[in-house]
Amino acid sequence: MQLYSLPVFLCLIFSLLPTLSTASITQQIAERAIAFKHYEHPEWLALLHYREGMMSSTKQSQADDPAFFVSGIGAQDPKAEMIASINALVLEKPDDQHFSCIFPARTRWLTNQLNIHKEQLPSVNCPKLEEFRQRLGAKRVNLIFAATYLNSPSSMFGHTFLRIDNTTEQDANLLLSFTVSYAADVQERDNELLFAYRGIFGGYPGVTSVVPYYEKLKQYIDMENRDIWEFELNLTQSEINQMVDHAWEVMDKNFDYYFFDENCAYRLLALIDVGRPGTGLIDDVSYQAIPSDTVRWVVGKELVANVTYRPSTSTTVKSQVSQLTDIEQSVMLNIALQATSIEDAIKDIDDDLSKARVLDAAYEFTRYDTVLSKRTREETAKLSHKLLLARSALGKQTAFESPPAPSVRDDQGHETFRIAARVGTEETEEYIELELRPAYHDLTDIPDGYPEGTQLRFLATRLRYWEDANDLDIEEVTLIDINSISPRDEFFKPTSWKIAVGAIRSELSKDRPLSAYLKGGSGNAFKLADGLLYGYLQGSLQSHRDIHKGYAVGPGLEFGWVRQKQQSQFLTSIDYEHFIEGQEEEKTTLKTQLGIRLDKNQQILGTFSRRKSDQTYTTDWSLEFRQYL
Amino acid sequence: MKKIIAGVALTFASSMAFAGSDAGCGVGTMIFKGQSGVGPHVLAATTNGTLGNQTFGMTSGTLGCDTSKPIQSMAMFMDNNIDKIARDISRGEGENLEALAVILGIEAKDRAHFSALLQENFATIFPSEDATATTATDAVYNIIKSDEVLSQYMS
Repeated sequence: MQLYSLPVFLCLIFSLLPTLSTASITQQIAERAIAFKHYEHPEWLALLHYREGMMSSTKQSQADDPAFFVSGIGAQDPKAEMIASINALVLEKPDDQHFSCIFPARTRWLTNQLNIHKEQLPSVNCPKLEEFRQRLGAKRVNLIFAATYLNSPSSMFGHTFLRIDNTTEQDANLLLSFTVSYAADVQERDNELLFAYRGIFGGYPGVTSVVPYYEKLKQYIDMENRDIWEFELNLTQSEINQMVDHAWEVMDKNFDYYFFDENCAYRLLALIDVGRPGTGLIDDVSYQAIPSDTVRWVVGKELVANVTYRPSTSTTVKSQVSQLTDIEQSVMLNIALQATSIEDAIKDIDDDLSKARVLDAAYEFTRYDTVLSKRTREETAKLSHKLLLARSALGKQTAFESPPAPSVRDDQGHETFRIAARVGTEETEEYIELELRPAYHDLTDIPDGYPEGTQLRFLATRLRYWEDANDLDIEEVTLIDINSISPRDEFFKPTSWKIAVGAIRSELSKDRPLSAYLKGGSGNAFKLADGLLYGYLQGSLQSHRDIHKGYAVGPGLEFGWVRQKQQSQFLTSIDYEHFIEGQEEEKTTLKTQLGIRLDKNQQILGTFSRRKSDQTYTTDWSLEFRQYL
Repeated sequence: MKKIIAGVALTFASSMAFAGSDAGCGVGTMIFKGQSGVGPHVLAATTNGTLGNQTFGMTSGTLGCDTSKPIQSMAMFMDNNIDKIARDISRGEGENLEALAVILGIEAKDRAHFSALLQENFATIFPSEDATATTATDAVYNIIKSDEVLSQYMS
């Protein structure tokens, strides 16, 4: 018996030894973490996406996924999460399942911050993580901004995502780079209305996805015709590594998506914050993270090394058409609209370069039309193929210059939040107005950096104080007001449209009650004398209990001319509404506005309007000062 | 050997395409006639949302697209971008054609030759408007394979 007991005893000691030392290591590290309050470190808070909770002393993570935490109370408790993480760090686990494989960015930070040595940790293999890192091969990170897209509620303010390059060369081919983006995981059947509702009030899980850049370009450049700006970030290799590892940590975790603040742009800021600690980008977000604003912040924090412009398909097509000579233009159009065969059309053109220009432009034009569903693919397939076949016989030709980058980038225009003070006279009564417009751009705003002919007013609110009556009223609360004026010409035939919904003072009742309204229209626009001439066929609905029957609805017309120049902005319009249902009434408003730019973020605007409601005429003069914040 | 891999990759990817994952990795896309740009894609594309399992295609490989393998990578890239690749081939230059060369590992010094070769063979790669990404991928593969300078990249 004696003989066996010693080895058995030794055996026990040796088997206990690692456990004991693991426990003591953990305890030692945890004590250090608590003593120096490392769990309050801003980098730890950033890695776990903590924000201040309901009370300022509490914390709440924005991650809505238990798998993002080690501790059961980790979502609310940075300290408990840190202790649990330290315990997990020293624990033996199979490949890919160890803490350091699941949370590599946290692991790097913890081991540095708490001075944990490699020897104190179990040796771990993370083949999946390694594959991810290898595939990205991240050497350069770019913030990509896709411009405003009015046709979709969530893209109206632009969209941002990151592109990870495996090279630092300037002229490398970047189509194969991977992108990291955060988006709402929308169920296929949700309609736009439900989308808007759930987007605002929550209800969509948000997921981080990694896809090749060419897929993104197909979506934004080709299908949605949005210009793209690429901002190369000046991150160091170690900052990039930390960011990539953090992308891995959040990749399949759910962060609920909110349209205004916790949106695509917001989560990217959080990623950059982790990559370069101390930028505090997230702190710039108060109640909304408009993608173009987030680009401004990133530029403002001196994170950008280089900027590149990538024109949309529509920008390219328009540029190519404009570079053709008059003769080439008419030949091109004949081919594209299949008025003549390709052979007949180009047989009189002598040089190959000119032929190439005509064929290239005809192809682009045809494809562009097809994507817009002006023509079906069945119709254009044969033509497209023939065009390319003919073109391939002409060898290499430098047919066109690329479209030049706009002189003012989307992030260099006026700020999006606007506040305005106005003094005015309606007939003989004087008033003062205060207007808040949280986003985004009016037709009469300073146009630099915004697409011509577009308006997107969001949550605009006007308060009016009548001086004589000593009365303060809400004049207008607009939920959303979109106007998309797109000029037509020989080649391009877009439809202009507008829609507005909210509450305004109704002229349909004597006391001008604040009434719900919905107004929309569809029409055409043309370039005229440096401006856009437009016409709408429209419909209006107003509703308030003081209006006869409670509502009024009817058709109408609007014509106008808008000229958006850098120094001066001019809009004149005549709006006619004929309410025929509910309450019958005709209303005509003539309005002329002239804005003068004082500064990038300051403008003065004068407005004259004359309104006719049945037999009453009302004249209104006002002058306002606009400050963009 | 590569030929077999290519065949397997294409078959697998095509079967995925027939299974209805047209947003993903299939190789059945009709170049000139395929699904229209706007329409079913608009909602998916414009809502900043993602549909189905496309999100994790890259990491989980559920769509049969292991992008670390050149041939599969080429199949996937061709399928996604075939109309732009066709355009670039017709011109003998362009970003998409260059990306194809990168995927196939063709070195910078041989890229001009690669572009010119494909341009000359446009009619072989895209014999009619009924060409698909699959037939085009096969044709490109065969053209490179039988070219003196470029065959080294396919061995």
